Amino acid sequence: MQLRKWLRILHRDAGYFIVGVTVIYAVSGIFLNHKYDLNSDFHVITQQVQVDLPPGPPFQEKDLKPIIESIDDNILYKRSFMTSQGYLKAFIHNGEVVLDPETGIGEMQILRKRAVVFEMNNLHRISTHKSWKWISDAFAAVLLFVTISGIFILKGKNGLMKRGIWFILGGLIVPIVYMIFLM
Amino acid sequence: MRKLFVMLAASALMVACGARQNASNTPQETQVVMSVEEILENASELVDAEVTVTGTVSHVCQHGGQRCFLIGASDETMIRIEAGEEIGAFSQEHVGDNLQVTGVLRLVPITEEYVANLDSTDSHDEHHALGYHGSGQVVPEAEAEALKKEQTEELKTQIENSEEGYVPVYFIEGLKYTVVEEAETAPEGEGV
Repeated sequence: MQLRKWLRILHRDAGYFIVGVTVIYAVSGIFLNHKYDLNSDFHVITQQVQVDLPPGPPFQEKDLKPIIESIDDNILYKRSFMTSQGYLKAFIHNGEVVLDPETGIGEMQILRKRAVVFEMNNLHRISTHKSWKWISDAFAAVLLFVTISGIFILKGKNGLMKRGIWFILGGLIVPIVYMIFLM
Repeated sequence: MRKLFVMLAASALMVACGARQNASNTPQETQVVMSVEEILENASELVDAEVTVTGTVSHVCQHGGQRCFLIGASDETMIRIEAGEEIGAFSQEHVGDNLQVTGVLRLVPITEEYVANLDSTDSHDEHHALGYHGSGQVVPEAEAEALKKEQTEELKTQIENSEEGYVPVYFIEGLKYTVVEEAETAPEGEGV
């Protein structure tokens, strides 16, 4: 009896404690599952552009800088080079501009971070500081405790051996089928 | 409860600040820094060795920044850098910057079997090994598939003609990197 009481208290408080991290991992997990269906970190904005280029190639960087930056007020020019396919590629802050050197027609691609999701994905991938690996291990251990303790909290007709076991088995069937037959 | 929360928050902040300070205090070692061209020229002798290379970031993988491509004087000399566990991920903001990357040079032997699998897979990792899917090469979408086929056919011919039975493709497993300079324009008179 005493054990069940403590289990309930610990389950409740540990559960509160991991609300934030669970939400972060669940939301970013969905985004990362679909990272090849959509860009999970960035909005990719593609825009057709046309500029007046001086005769070339070769082009002078000092000439290209104001031309590229004139496309949009927010553009910060970095550098350019001629690609092996004969296009002029200009690197800009968070993007690039690719132009036909003869016509000045081309495409600009700008990446904009998905607010909050970008940071959550970085935590999920441990692309942040390495210490996060150990912190997330600790959170995972707490989540495991919350899950296991939850199994034993209730007794009676809604307890583990009456109702609970069927839901547990139901939740295990799908991953087990995939592990055995679809790998 | 409130005290517990304050203590927890303060501890987390202290750990985070300490970690950041340690990272910024890492001493710089003396290394032989090679260009992308030099690495590729001497690659066969440097396989599995720790190397340091400098080049311009032509592309950072948009699906998490797990790899980037460094180019030399042109995009015909290019090497793939895998961020790995040590680096974690490359930021998109580095595209166009000059990076100095230290890591271990690895060889991927591209065999006929590898190319055959490539035709039947959409695996981005395998395509990345050859520089497809955003290597920094600029190809209009309409031409991309045709160019890929052309490159694959060329690769098959190279494999057939090679003595070893494979075409070597090199990449670097990154251990650390620094931005060697802020992006700046080339000196006057030097054209692109």
